[in-house]
Amino acid sequence: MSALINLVNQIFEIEQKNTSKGDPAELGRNMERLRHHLDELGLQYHSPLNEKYTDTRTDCVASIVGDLVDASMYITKVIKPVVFQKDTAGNRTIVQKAVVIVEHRTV
Amino acid sequence: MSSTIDFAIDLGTTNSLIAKGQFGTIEVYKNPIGHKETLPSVVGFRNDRILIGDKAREYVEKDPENVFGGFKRKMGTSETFFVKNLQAQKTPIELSALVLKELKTFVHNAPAIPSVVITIPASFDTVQSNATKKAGYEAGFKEVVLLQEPIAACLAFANKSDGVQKQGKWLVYDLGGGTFDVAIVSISDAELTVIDHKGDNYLGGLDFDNLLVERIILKQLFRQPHLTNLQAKAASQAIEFKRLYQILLHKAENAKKELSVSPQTEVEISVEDDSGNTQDILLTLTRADFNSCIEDKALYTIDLINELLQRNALATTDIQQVVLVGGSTYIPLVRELIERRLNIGVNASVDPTTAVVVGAAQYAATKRAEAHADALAQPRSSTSTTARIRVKASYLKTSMDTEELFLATLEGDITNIHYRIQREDGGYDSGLKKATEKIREYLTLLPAQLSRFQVKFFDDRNDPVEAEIDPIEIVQGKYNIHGQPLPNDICLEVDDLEERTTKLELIFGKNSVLPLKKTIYREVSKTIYKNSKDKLIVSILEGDRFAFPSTNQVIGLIEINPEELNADLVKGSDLEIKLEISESRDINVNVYLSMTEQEFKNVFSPSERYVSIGKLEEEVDILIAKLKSELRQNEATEDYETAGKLDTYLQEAMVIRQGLDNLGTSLNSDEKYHLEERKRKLAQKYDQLGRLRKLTAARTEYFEVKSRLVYEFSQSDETRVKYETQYKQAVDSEPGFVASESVFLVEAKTKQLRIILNDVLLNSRDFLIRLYYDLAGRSKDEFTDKQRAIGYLEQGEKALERQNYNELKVINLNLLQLLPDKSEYVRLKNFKGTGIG
Repeated sequence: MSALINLVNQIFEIEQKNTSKGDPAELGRNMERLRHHLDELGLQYHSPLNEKYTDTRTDCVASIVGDLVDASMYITKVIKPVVFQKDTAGNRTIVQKAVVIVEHRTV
Repeated sequence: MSSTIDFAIDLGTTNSLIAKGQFGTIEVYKNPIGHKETLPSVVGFRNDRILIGDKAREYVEKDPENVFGGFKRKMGTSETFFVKNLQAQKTPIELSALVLKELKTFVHNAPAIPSVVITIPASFDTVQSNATKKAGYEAGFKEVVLLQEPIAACLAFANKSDGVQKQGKWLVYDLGGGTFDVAIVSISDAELTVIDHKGDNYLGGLDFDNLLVERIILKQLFRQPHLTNLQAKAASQAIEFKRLYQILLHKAENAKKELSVSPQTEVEISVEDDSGNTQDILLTLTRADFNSCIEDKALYTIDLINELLQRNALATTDIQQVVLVGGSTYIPLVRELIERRLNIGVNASVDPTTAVVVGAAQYAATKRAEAHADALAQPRSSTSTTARIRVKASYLKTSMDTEELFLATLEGDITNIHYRIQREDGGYDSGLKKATEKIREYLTLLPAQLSRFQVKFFDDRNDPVEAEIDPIEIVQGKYNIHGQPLPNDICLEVDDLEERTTKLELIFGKNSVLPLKKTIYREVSKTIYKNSKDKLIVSILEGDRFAFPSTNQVIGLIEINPEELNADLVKGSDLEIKLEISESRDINVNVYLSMTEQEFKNVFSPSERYVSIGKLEEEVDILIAKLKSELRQNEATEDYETAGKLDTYLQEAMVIRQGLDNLGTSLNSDEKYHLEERKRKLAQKYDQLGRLRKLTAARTEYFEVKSRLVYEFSQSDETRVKYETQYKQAVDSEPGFVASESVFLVEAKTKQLRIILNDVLLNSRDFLIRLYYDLAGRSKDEFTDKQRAIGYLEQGEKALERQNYNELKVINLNLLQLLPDKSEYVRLKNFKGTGIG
């Protein structure tokens, strides 16, 4: 399982890089296909980038940078995504928490 | 009920663990959220929640007035921690008790834990030890037995390693995330005693990560061209730099682990350059680099050991071995230095992260318990523990928001009761909150799906309290189910090359709620040359998934003509079909051919109809072929009633075919729609007429093949063993597919079994001989190539004489190839299909 999760992390990294550079090699379609095949293996991943961060979020391991202002903390960088494993009944369980950077942001 | 203690806790300065020892096995429990064995010994009081472990650790530096770690060092002192949010003091005992209570929630297979072994550092004096015991009682344990950490570690090693001298003195070298301890333990048959110990409370793996970042990674980054501003940002501690530093710490931790097994590793860092562009920089880190960073610290631990040995007038030769404890002992340099500088053998045969708790659990498994679980409930039986809490919950079952408010009214005795709400996938945890008559909580929902939450209640010892409440279920992002369900199945038509026909593949099932979206990946089933007349047909149908494709209504159709292709489309190349159906039932079909990198798309409105004449002609031809074939069969079995109906259908099909032939000369542009409608109605009638009979026939054939296979298995154990797994896979979902309405499904399973059966038979000597005589007994005229058949038969005679059955097998197969295929569909030699496999 850990090898599969490492694979997901690598796919996520490639996807991040590709998206940040505007998909120069048009990999979007291949990335979507990889997601599809991971899904067939029961694995799904999610990037919580820009989502609100609170005390109750146990899907992330956060490093808090800068000031802590409870009401307006956001995930500003995702180092590893949340990885879910689906069972045969379709129920999901988190098998890897996201590794994220959290910062105060004024919206 | 076990008479021994069984449970053990390693209550560490940085991390804590819980394990159970019973019947010679040790189970180290994992945190139900996050699946880690370790729980950071950190407690946070954030607003009205108590957070313990990973979540609390995130805030330890940012909210030091409310979040506390390292309190183990203060055990037995009068020092207290002032919690700003509570405006109250918390003692190290209370904080430790909270960690112990949290560890209890890891245990999923025991109703209550009356007794526990808790480990303490060798340095703990009586006051500190008693403080730890008190924390144990506060956490609800009735009996607490203390065990020194080095002894626990030695037990784990002593019970594991064979061939090691189990007399004399061992050194326990414990280098964890944040602390270092070393102890000399005397081992004899009768007892284990800590002779002396030494340590440093501020040395561990976290220091190594920081050193790697500061001395190696940042130095290399500062040398990069176009990153001159980075050093200035570092000096001013700009927020960008702080963010980068956290990322680098994470990368350093991974690199450290990799360098424990490889001589070098690469770290990739995305960093903003002087002109504001993101640069991906690849740095190579070697084990030598890492060693140079941490060598001073590692040597310092050796100095401490030497001091310890000197203090006890011991030479290194007096020590049998060094046992390694704590995650940082994975680092090769640490092991090398101990061996090189001290010249003592190192034992790393037990997982250093769990060694202490494993040893303590081994001890707990042999230690007789004085307290029992029933004693736990006793004093509370008249109060809250057994009192049921009734919960009246109120929340929306569906939500378009990412958070949803949960309200509940509690009835019953809720004095000293806490509640906790957790999402079942592990992504949300309310933390422990004090129960009040009315509770309200914002629950974070999983996007576009169902989230299930469990509400649990705990007493002041963190033992669960029974409550009457169902799991909370909230669907996010979907409109109410009564909105827009699909009235029929939506399918894609694909080729069934073996049967030379097409079949349906389900995309969206009946009653799926709109809007819907799905991407299907298939292969091209035949090569489509640019200069040919073949087409690729993506046909989306609405109707019954179990019926023949021609009975369903075409709701979306994309025909890709060969001249539109950039290049020949080779068989086996990939095909992506993206299908979206909006709430107003518009169908958006997008076909992508990966080989030619071409995209074809179209939006279909449900009010229009789509007819491909070529496809319609082929469908009618297939229908005619099927009708003719069945008509003959029914006449042969003298079922004249069915034959009569089939004959009428056949006449109708011929009329439609004729209509299609005349289409070129027809002036009526609606004629093709009319013919398509007639064809569909006819196909439906035919499908209904034959379906039950076909299903029965398919099911009968399935059971015939199955029972033949079972018979063959009963004749030879060798065969059974060889094919059992394949057979089980094939029949695994039997109740499901036999009961289904799908002829295709039953036939597919039969085919799977038949392949196994053929394999079994072709390896059976008796069968090969019988088959050969059967083939030899036929008229030579039956074979498509008479001369070759005669040749094979002569070879067969010789093979039989020589008793060469492998050769006979090949000859049989060659002869079978020469028999004509009588299948009706073979007549449709020019089957075109959809081109989608």
